Amino acid sequence: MNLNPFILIVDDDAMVRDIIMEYLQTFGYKNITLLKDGASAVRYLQNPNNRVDLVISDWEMPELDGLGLLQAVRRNPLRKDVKFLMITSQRSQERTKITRAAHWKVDAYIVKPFRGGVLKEKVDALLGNEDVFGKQTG
Amino acid sequence: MTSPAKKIGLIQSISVPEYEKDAETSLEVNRRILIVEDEPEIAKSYQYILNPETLSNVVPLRRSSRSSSESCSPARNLQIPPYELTIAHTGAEAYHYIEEAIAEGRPFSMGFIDVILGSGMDGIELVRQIQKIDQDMYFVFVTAYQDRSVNAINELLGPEVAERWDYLNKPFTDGEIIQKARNAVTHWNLKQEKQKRNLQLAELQRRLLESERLVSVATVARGMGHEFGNILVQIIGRADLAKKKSEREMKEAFDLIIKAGEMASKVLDRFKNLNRNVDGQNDKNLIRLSQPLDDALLLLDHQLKLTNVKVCRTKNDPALVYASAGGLTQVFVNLIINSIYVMKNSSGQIDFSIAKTPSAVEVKVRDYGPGIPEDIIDRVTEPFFTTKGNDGTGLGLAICKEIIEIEHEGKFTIKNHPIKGVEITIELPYPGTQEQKDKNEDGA
Repeated sequence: MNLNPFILIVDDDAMVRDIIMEYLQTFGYKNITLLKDGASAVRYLQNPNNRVDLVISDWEMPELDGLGLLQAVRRNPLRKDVKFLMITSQRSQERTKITRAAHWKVDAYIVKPFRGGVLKEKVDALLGNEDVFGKQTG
Repeated sequence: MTSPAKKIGLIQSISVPEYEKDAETSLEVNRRILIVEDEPEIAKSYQYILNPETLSNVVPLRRSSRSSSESCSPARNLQIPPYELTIAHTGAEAYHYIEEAIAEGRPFSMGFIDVILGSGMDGIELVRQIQKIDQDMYFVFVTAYQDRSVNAINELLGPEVAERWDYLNKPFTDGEIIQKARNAVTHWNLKQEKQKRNLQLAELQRRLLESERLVSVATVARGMGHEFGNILVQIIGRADLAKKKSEREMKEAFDLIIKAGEMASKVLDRFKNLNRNVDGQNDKNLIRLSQPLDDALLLLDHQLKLTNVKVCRTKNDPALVYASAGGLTQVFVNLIINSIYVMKNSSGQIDFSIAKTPSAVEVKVRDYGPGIPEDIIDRVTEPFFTTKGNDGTGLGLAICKEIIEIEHEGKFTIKNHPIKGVEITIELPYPGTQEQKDKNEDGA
């Protein structure tokens, strides 16, 4: 049970970042950080003062992509147990990607476009909050 | 229109794949021969020599045939398949048979034509008439005496028939007739075969161009899929979130949704620019050369960002060209895809320059990749030459060259930059001359 979780959203598209943040706020989450690429996310995670319980990351990003970020998280002894939710837009390659991400222990997976309900279900499950915020958003 | 010979140019060096050679596409051998001979007994001796199956107990005539074999027909001795003979005794009758044969779609491959045909038209005049309805048939003139010189016949028939006639003096031998028949029939069939193969090659090339176009479309589509995914997140997300909000907030959401829809429509417009007629000839317009380049960069925006490849416009002269925007967009897309591919593991850069030179509008595209090994640089524009293994079709640069040099009468050169990377130079003619030429051709 995590009553006050810290969530990091990583996406190169500002529009998508904002939507995910708004959704999470609607679900009742308050501690949200937005970053626009994998490299800055790795830097953010290297600082032990930054608390992160869940990373929500896009797959397709310049320089360091979502898989690269996932690998960096799992290799970091401080962060290896951080929950990781991957988002991708490429339905056709979904299966290959799930397999590759699963190898690096991705915790959950969403394909764009998605609706709030799906996002809520995954995020709540990952943070062990199935019942905590359920009633607030309906 | 580009002439078929030009279109075939690209794949002249390609052998026809084995599956193209199957029985379905090969032609039935045409063994139809027309005999035009006013003397019935000489006509029969042709039958004896070329198709003995249809006769029994016919002895060749001594005065017209110097037969060496008395017991058995030569055709039987050689075991060649029989020819299909039709015999006409006058020029008019012969002409009628040829008309019929053409109407049936079973033309004659050759004819033995007696020069002197009693009353009515002679053999030479007959061939002049036939030429009007059949331009493929071969002829062997048979003369009882030297009534016309070779030069005289040639002059009478003209250049159109020059390669398709031969002559023979009476009395002829069986062997001479068989040899002439075999030569002419073989020539006729080889020529038809060649024509059919040329059509197949043209079709094969059309399919190759189409498949390569689909490869670049697929690359662009991957980037587009990502953009559409993000736009749909916006549309669905905004509507989803707004459901429980105040009327004012809902109106704000509507505006964002409309904006997202407009973005989607712009993405779609760019994609349409890549879709063009494979012949590429009918969609030429006076365009700014920077337009197809801008379109190509927008189409590959996602890939460029993902691979962190920077784009630098080193020179941008405002230049107009008479060109197919779709064709040039495809050229730039292919070149950018290649450069991204070779620089994918190192954040690279592509320089674009558009410059007016005294003789042409010149575009240079330069990357900072490893360059092309000198021993293969001359081969990279050959069809099917690829260094990408299964990632490439080996057609990208071949098609760029075709689009620039054949469709636009420009020049496409590829060389290593003296310092680093590959530099491609595209030279396009100034508008005016080409535009005028195309208009003239359209009117013709």
